[in-house]
Amino acid sequence: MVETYKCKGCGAPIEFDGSQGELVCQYCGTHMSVNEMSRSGEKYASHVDDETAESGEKIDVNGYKCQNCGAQLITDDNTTATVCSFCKSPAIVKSRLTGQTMPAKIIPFSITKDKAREIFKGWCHKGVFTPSAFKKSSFVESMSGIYVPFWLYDYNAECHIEALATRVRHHREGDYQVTHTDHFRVVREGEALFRLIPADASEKMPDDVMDLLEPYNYTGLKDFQMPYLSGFLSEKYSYDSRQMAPRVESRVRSYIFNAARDTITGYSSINITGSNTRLRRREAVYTLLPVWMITYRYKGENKILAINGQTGKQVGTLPRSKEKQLAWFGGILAGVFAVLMMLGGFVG
Amino acid sequence: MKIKNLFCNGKACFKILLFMAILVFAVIHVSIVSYAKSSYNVDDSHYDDTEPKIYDEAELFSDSEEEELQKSLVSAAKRIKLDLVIVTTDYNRGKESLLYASDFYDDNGFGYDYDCGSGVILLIDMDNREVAISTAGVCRVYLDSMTDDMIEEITPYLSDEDYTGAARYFINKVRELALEAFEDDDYEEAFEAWYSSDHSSISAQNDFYDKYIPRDNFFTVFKNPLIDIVIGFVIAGVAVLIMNSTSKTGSTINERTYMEGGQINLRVRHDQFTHTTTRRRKIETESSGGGGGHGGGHVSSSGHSHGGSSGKF
Repeated sequence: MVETYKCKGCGAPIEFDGSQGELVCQYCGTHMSVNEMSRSGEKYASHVDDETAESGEKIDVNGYKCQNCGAQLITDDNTTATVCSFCKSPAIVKSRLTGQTMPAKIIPFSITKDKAREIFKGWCHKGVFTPSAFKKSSFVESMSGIYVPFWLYDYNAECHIEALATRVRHHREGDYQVTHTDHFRVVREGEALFRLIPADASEKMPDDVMDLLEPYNYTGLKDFQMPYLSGFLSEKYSYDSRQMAPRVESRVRSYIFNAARDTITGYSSINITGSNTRLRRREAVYTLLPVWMITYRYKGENKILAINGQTGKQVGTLPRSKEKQLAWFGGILAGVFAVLMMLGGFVG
Repeated sequence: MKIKNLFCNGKACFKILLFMAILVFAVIHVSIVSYAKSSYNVDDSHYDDTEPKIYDEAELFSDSEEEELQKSLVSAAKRIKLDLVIVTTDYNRGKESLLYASDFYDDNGFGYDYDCGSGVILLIDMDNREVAISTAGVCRVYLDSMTDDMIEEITPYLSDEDYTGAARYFINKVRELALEAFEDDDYEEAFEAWYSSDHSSISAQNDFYDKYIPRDNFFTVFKNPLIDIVIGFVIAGVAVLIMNSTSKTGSTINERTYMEGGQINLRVRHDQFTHTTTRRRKIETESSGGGGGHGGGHVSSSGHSHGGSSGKF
């Protein structure tokens, strides 16, 4: 079942606007709050009967129809929100946002499409080695706003560290330099609560890029309501909280270890002889986090540029032109060589 | 194609010829002017041309060779206003060859202008199989930077036991360098300073050396193009790496980002002193190295500063 939110003023498809924090109709300018839309959803949303895809038959491309123009929506098994490729109407696959797969929390987009476009454009002009062709190209138009499924984990962590540490004192006795080394046995044991550590639960999104988008500002965390998705792409998690746990646990382990080790201070040398960490998972919250993204191919490689949809933080690698790198290298080499030769000739 | 056109074009051809002509005139003009400066007022009275200038203690030369060398040493000396001396030995009295040469020069009171004044001495030390060239007086200004090269060029003669060849090379090379220096504008001020006042005292000589002998400084290493290119490679490499980071983004989280309270709650904080180990090390009192000579050279037993170099053969 697909849902498309419609404006109560004019009946046109209506999208969530990050800068307003509300749904705003692009045609008549009507504002509707997420709560209002969610409550009255039944009234304004249009429903269709279940499609073949959900009636048991397995087919690769699920046959959802756009509620606005009737065209086939391009979706895959995980798609929960999309935009009709013909009429650009937002479409939300409601049945995939219920029960087990209903997100508990969401951080709505606060970076609007225009703002994101601006950031991407500015970004492409940064980077000394960015190819000139890349700066001109209009590839920015291919960007999309995606709510990426994350698990936010809470962990109780305990750490026990044992170490041998030394402190060195010097003093002088006549013609001798005397070095005293005081040896200590150091033990630290402590605990900490880690809250809302995100782990990307989507198969499609590269974990390393998603990790770099952190941190999110959790004061913007809201209870999930479907209208937030209107106008954006989204998908449901492909890994459950148990599957993603090991990834987060290795992070928590290093966090608690580093924190405990950092309390051993005032020594000239610290040698960790043993450590033990214990973790207890308290909770994992299924959360959608906003990401603006451009994927592109450069010289046969798939690359991603992403913007944190809440904070605007930029992540990803701009392409580097080998020619530009070589030119800079050669130029600097020649310049340094010339300056040094002149210094050697005139001053030396 | 372009080059061909350039030369086919009569106007361009004329311009190039004119430019070359101007260049040639300029060079000739400059050399005439500088040649004119090369007459300095030098007092010849100290130089004794009847005194032997070759001391063949190791008996490397025949009588006729010795006679020939004595003649050319004296004639060169008069031309370039430097005392030229050659000494050979098979017993160096345990001295470093360069110091032996300098001491020999000073002990015999050589010097074209003063006792222990301007001049060059070549030592062939058969005891150590070493050759040394020691410089003194005004010629240090232009010879000190050349003695390393001279030693390098002289050793093949000695390895071949062509001692006369080595001696002739020495005389000719010093003569050549001195004549070049007389015509070189860069040394004009030094010559002027040396010849316009009395430099017979050690202190006057030292002041002169300190002022006019070009000393190696931090930048001298950059004369080596190989070093420059290596430094260039390193700097360019590092710069490109740094610029690479302009197209990349990094992590902005740390272990405290997600930690409640931002701090670990320590239950156990235990620092137990176990023992102390002690090490004693004798402090090396740095011996003050034998005072270096003025103008970057060395000091002979008589207290005069000399320049020069030595090498094995």
